[in-house]
Amino acid sequence: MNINKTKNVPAERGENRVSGKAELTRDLPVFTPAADIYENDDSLLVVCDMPGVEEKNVEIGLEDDVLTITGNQGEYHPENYQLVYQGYHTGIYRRAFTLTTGIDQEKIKARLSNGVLSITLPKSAAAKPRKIAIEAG
Amino acid sequence: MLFAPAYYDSFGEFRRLQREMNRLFDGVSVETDEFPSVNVWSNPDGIVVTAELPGVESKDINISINQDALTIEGERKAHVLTEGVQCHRSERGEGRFVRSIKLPFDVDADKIKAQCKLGVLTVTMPRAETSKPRKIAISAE
Repeated sequence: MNINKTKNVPAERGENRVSGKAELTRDLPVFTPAADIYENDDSLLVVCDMPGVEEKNVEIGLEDDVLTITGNQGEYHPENYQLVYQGYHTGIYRRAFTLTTGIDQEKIKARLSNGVLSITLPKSAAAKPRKIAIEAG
Repeated sequence: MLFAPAYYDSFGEFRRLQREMNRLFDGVSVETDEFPSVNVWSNPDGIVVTAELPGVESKDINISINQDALTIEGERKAHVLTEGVQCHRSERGEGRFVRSIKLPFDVDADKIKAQCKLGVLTVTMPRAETSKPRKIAISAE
């Protein structure tokens, strides 16, 4: 899995059909994975459902406070069988979050298990809440 | 539609297309359109069903077969929240699920193989010998 610190969004050819979102150059359906976000004093935890995605096909990028998660599902087609009923399509999972707290980029950890991607983003020291003592008087 | 004695029924084409699509799926019927999503592949000798089950451990999935009905049930455990953790978003569901799929022919229960990899469950089911079509010879009179 790659963690790019400054990931550039690829330059697009043709027009953007969805305004505001950059299209992917590959002609695959793009899905928004369901995500859970948790936060405690030390870190942020982002959990995404990405079934069928192998570790090497996951890309996590953090640039300008925007966390972009991309997962490429492998196409599955059993040999000598024909598709009779299609309940779901395979394609690319992509989601971007704007982070409001400062993150220590060096310490980002990601784990892919059972089709679930968990990203732990430790807060930078400056972003941790500090207790301010109130002086009496 | 006062001034349209001969209007073009634009939805007629869509309805016809939908009917054709439904006919394609004849022989495979699914009871509910819920979790998990499945894809069904088949050939004259067997069926393969794939289901997307992210976050479900293999031990929490139960697959059972009853002649031509495949049932996938299980449980997705929730993320355990410890002290001091705030939840900003909770889009991934949790809980028990059941889904039954009716297959186009009986399968051999002894030869079923199921594998769960990367959160995708793949069940491979060879056709039951008794359900294979038999050629009938025509005797000359």
